[in-house]
This record gives sequence, C-alpha cells and structure tokens, in this order.
Amino acid sequence: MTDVDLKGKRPTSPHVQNFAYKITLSMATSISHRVTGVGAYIGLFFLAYWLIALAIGPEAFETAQTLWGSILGRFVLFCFTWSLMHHMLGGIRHFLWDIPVMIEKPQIEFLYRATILGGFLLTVVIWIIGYAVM
Amino acid sequence: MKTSTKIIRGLGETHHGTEHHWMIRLTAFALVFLTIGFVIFVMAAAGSDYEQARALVGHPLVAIFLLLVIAVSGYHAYLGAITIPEDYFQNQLYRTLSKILNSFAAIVVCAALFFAVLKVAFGG
Ligand code: HEM
Repeated sequence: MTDVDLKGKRPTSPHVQNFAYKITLSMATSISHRVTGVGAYIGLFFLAYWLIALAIGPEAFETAQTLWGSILGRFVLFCFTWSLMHHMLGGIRHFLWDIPVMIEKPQIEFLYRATILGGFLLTVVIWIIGYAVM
Repeated sequence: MKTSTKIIRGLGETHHGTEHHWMIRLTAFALVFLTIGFVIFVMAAAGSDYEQARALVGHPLVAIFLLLVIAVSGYHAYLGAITIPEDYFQNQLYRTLSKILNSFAAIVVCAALFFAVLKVAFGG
C-alpha cells in the first residue's frame, strides 16, 4: 500500500492548485509580447484615422492633429511607443533564439531583463529626441 | 517505426505552420527597419500643419515607405493575431469566427491606409 491520504489532501492537477506556478519572467514576457502585438495591430487603426483625416481635408486633419497633440493623445502615443519598442525587442530576442544564440539559462534571464529595460529606455530616448526636434 | 519526413513536413494542425512561422519571422525582420523609419516619420509629422503633412506624406519616397510599412505590418499583424484564437478557443465556431474577423479587420484597415496614402500622394 502506498501512503496516500485519500480522504484529506488528495493530489490535484497542477492547474487546480493555487499558486502552483510561480510567475516567471518568461511567462510575463510571453504574454506582454502578445499584448503589445495586439497593441500594434490597434495602432494600425490609429494611423488609419490620422491618414484618412489628412486625405479628407484641412478641417478633419486639424481635428486629428489637435486630438493627438492633447495630453491624452500624447499619453496614448507614449504608451504606444513603449508597446512597439517592447514588441520589437521581444522579436529580436526571438531571432537570437532562432539562430540559436544566448540560450543558456543565465543568458536567457539576461535577455528577458535587457528587453524589458530596453523597451523603457528606447521609449524615453525617442520622446526626448521627439521633443528636442519639435 | 519510420515516418517519412516528406509526408509530415509542414503538416501541423492547420497544414501551414511552417510557412506561418517563416513568414512571421521574415515580416518581423523587415519590420525592425520599417519601425525605426516609422518612428522618424511620426516625429517629422508631429506638430506639422495640413500643408506640411500633405507635402511629407505626398513625397514619393515617403509614400512608398508608408505603403511598405502598411503592407508588411498588415500581413505580420494578420499572421500574428491568427494564433491567438488558436491558443485560447477550443470551440471551433469561435475559432472560425475570430479568424474571419481577423481577416476582415486586417484587410479593411490596410485598404483604408493604402487609399489614404495614395490619395494624398496623387494630390486628389
Ligand atoms: C517592430 C518590429 C517587429 C518585430 C521584430 C516583431 C516580431 C514578432 C515576432 C517574432 C512574433 C512571433 C512571436 C512568436 O513566435 O510567438 C510577433 C508576433 C506578433 N506581432 Fe510582431 N513584430 C514587430 C512589429 C509588429 C507590428 C508593427 C505589429 C502590428 C501591426 C505586430 C503584431 C504582432 C502580433 C499581433 C503578433 C502575435 C502575438 C502572439 O501570437 O502572441 N508586430 N512579432
């Protein structure tokens, strides 16, 4: 007889247990790559709005420009910049692993951190340059 | 047991997994450069008035560049988004419906973007 308590703590399948999985960087970046991919998809519609407004005429374009230039508009664009940069770096990470290079455990962890940090860094740099040239 | 690679190659659930994987990598590679260019374009367009924006988008090189961005990102987004219902939906009806929605959304937004760029570029 194996020593299994059939009445009390019966073993459950991992997905039924609370906190069976620790949230790892790999999970977080996997889902964030997906979310930012969908974000970029939605970005195509934003771009369409701006370009169609330009194609329609001066009034429509002024409205679009005012909207994107507002605090809310800039905030959305800022988040969108981060989303795109995060997704791009995530994609480059995929390329590295496709080759494959940097596939040892510590290097993998390093790449996760580098792409997360890099996304924020690039976003800030882009906006600093953006304000400097405007 | 012997399985001929010839028979099974490229035959995943949807029968074009290999091609999907390759095309999303190919488009993603191009998108790295296109995205960098696109960020520069947005900086140039930010704060410009109507005439400036029309001149910018209407410049042949910029217009061609934008058409490339639209085509490649549209195809990449279409390919990328199709895996999401495949991952989350068991129900075949939901899967099919969301794939139809994805196809329509991608084609509609790309058609609109193409037309807008071309209209500005040809000065209509
Ligand atoms: C900036 C350059 C970009 C790179 C390097 C890139 C790279 C990638 C890669 C490698 C994948 C596949 C991930 C996997 O195999 O799980 C992917 C997925 C995806 N990408 Fe991109 N991408 C870029 C830009 C874009 C843009 C502009 C859009 C939308 C307009 C987009 C939308 C998506 C979507 C929706 C997915 C699917 C996400 C998923 O299945 O989890 N990407 N991207």
